[in-house]
Amino acid sequence: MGLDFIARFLFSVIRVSTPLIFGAVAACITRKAGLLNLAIESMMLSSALTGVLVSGATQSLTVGMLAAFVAAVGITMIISYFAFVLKCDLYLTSIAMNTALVGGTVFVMYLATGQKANTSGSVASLYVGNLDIPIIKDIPFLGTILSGHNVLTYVAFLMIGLAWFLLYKTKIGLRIRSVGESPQAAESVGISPRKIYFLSFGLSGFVAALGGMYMSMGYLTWFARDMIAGRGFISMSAMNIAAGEPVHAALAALMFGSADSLSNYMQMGNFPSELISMFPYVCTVILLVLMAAIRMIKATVDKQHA
Amino acid sequence: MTEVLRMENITKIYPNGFMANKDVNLAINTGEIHALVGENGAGKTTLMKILFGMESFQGGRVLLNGEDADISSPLDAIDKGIGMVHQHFMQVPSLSVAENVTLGIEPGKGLLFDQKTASEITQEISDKYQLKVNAQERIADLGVGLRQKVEILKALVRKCRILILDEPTAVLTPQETQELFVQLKALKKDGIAIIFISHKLEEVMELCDRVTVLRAGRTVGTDVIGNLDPAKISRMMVGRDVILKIQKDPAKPKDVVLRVSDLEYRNGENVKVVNKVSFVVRQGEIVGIAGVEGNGQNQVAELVAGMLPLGHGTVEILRRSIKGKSVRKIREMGLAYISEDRMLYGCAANLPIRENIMADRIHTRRYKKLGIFTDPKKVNEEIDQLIREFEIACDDRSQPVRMLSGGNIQKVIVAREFSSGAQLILANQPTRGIDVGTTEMIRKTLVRKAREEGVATLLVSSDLNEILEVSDRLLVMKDGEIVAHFQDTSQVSEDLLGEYMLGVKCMTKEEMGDLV
Amino acid sequence: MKETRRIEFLFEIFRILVALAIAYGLTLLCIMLISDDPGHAVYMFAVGPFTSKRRLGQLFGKFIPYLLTGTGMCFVYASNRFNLIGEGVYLMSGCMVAFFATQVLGTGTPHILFILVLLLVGALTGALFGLIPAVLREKMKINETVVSIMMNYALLYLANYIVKTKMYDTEITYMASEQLPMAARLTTLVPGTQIHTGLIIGILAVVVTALIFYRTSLGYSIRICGSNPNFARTAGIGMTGSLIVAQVLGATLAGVGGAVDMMGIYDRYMWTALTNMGFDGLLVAVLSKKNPVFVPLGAFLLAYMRTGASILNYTTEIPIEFVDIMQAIIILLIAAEHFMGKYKEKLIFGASREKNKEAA
Repeated sequence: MGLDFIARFLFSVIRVSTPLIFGAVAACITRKAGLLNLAIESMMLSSALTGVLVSGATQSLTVGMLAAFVAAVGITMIISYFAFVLKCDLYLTSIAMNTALVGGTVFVMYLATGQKANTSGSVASLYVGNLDIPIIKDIPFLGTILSGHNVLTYVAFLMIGLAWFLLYKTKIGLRIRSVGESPQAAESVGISPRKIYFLSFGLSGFVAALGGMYMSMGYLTWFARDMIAGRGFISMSAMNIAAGEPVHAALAALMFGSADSLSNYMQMGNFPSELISMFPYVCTVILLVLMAAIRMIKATVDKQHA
Repeated sequence: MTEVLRMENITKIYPNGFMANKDVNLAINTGEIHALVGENGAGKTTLMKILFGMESFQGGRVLLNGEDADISSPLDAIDKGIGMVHQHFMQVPSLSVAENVTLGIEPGKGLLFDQKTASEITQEISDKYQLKVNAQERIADLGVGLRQKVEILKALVRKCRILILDEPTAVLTPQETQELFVQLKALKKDGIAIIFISHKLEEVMELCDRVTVLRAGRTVGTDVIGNLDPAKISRMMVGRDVILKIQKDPAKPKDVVLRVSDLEYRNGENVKVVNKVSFVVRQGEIVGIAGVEGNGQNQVAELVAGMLPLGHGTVEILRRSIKGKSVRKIREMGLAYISEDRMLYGCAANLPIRENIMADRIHTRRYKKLGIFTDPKKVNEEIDQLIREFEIACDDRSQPVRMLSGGNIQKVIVAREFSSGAQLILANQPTRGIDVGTTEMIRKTLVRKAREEGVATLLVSSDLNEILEVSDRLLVMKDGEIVAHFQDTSQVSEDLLGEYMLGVKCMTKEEMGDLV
Repeated sequence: MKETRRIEFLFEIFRILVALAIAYGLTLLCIMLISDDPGHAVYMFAVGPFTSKRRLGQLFGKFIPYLLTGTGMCFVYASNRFNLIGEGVYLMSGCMVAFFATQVLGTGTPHILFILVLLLVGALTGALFGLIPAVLREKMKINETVVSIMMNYALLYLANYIVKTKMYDTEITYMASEQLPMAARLTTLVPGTQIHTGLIIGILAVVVTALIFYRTSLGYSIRICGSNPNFARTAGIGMTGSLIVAQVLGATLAGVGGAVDMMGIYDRYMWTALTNMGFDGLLVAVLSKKNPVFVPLGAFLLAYMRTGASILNYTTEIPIEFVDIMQAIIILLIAAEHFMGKYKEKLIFGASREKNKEAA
């Protein structure tokens, strides 16, 4: 029972971490361009709702997903235009966009379905199915953990590699990293930082869109109001701890995910459900404090050695 | 030898009315190394920025190979075969040499970046011009000398025919400098025209074929190196044009106010930019620190003001050490500080004149009423008084500072610092880039404060007129050290000062006399 | 010079009006497109709040907490921080007020004393929770936006937990606390409306904030730190302290806002979702350009918008949430430096040319 319990726990860690991994990877792409992305929340919300509504209306998963990508990337273009062309503070723009999308998605949902809480029952939306991996699923312990996840979960792990490849092996990645580190140097050889900012936000919207789709077309099969519930911010923190490295950020996302998943297991005990709901958020803050403390201690030690 | 570049009657006026270049002429031949020399603010950098497409200009024209050239951006300049090695390297530290060299013109199929070809291209060009670097290494792991080679490679890989080097030796060791010269001479053999900006006259003598001297935005002249010697160049550079004469009685210095002993400072790259600096400033005297910019004067000022952490050495104001003290504490100990960059450190542009002047003193009991509230009547009276006294041209005290002209912004800053009742005034480039009227007012006030109120003043300036007119005693800094000390500034000629600043001469300990 | 400043001032007002007009225009267009009876819907949204005493009273009921959260966010926004803890503090403070009113203090407590104690509870709740993101930001450089938003969710669930375990009213069908005793409720000033004595507290907060901003050294410090931190350091201002105090004061005012709203409008604690008050406060601060003196204007405008939306919500089928989008558009357009920036330059340039012509 012990081993099986652990396997099922790890399975659920991967399950709840999936949107965080998408978000963290998305945040890495803008971070490498030198920008902190506080708007992942709004990107995920927009794609989550759009995917549900469009796939429900067209009864085509492909069209639904395409529409979800368009919605999230569209949001990033609006943010980029306000922040990099009209020179509105990027933080303020992101915060405003998040709030607009929390209300805006409810508004659109109501217009489309007449419901204000969620779309379950009112929209026959499509969803992405689970995948059993042929050989791995038969391995006793590992099979339970790794097989049978949603297809998008595997895409998330693929995305970590893709983002790494994009950032470190392509011309665009090179330009993104150079702008992030030294905009003047990039500009001196004719690379426009503004274009790179637009591009990195667009790419990050593309990745975050998958996170939103996972939430409403995989993890759940409907859209609910405020369903991202701070996951965008948790993802961004995971990225921040990892200093923008996709692989490390994904590991940090798994760490935050385990806190979340632990709360699912606490339900078996006598913990009140409200305190369980609090748990992931409190954990995030505590982890951030721990990481900052480690950073500060390291800095003082380095100083003494210098 | 054919003429590859001609800049004719170039005139550049900045939006604030400052004329940086006036009818400047410069002609460069293929395969020559041409020195461009002049004091800080003589207009060298502006001229080169115009050539590299970073600044527009109002008058004159640029000819490349005898044809009119329209250079409107650095990309244009690069396309037309002009390369520039900036004083601050334009590099991305975490990327490899090859990545930096090929950034913007990356090799590879489609989206992919071909690391191997990039390395080959870099290695090939590095071998061709004898600029030995390892293409795989990260920029952050390289020393300054190698980083400079990378910067030159960046220009060469883009097939430049004219190479601008902005004070390339400022950051190099003597050995690295010699190596660079060998390489530059090789480039010259290849037919590349090199524009070499420098303050170090011995280097100019050693390396260059011709010299063009700029002074106060104008061309003084161009000559082949055979007709020149360091003293001659120095005289061409530092001759004084506009002289603001300031009448003052001899100083009668009393007690020591500022005592600096064995001050040292290492910058972020662990280079010692201030080295064993000791001096004192007494009541009623003005001590000037002269030097070409970037020789550690600014760091000395920031260390004394508490803006940089004090490592090795001590700073005492009225016999109390400033070590570990907050900026406010240091100010309370008697310091007033006019910082070098007025928009970055000197004011809050969006706030009114009132807030800007009150920033350092609003917390004192003097302005309090009913315990915690400030007394607006008292504040306004004093601000209005200062606006009148310093003749700040403004609507009223609540006008945001950003709406004022540069000179008036500086007046707001000096109004604050001169009225704080400090025993010690530290003025770092107090009149840079402002109009003649304000400049005169600020200099006269510095002298008056010292003579009438007995304030001790430390003046850091790279403006020779200023430093010679205002200071009583004079220190010269070069490479982070004090290289000269003159007890009486009025006996110093600008030629002599220039020779110390530019490293033509250096005083022995005995010649300097008592510094502390 | 005087001319430049006049143009800038008028231009700012003009720019805000244009931003409002664009947001309103888009909203009205939207309403017309989706409503079956567009004329009626637009009328309800735009004029509705002024059509009856009750509705006008409702508008003022919203105006009061906006005064408090708005001034609170002025502190935060003026120090150039994006700390949204006001959101979580607002409902936590409402919860604590309900807890103290129903569980701790007896019904026999005199009215004035009861109110004062509850206000203090609200303020302390705000200060206490506001301290966390502020200290983490200024001492450990942890992003204040992330911490505050995480805390907002945590505080929401914590408040729900407290309601459920400590003061759940078993006689009603929905999740809410027991009823607040009458002595704990703010007196209604105009019968038949939601205008209560909290208005006085709100106005007091605006006055006190304005005094702190412009008549104390703390206010000078906060504004200088927010405007140019480098200059603040050069001038010897203690940045860490000033910025922590600013953010804590902001949270304190949000806490008082939650308390006043609880005691003035509601009879029990029943906020089971985030109230959006933190973001609303930010909108008020942006509208009033970080100047507490203008907070009443911004708060009134937002209350008017929100009242119109809620009237629309219950008289037609249009959900209230569209106001969130409208608010975001307003914030973005007002805070965007370059929105109509070219036009402004042209005006100023033209004016200075005119002046030069006269001089010549």
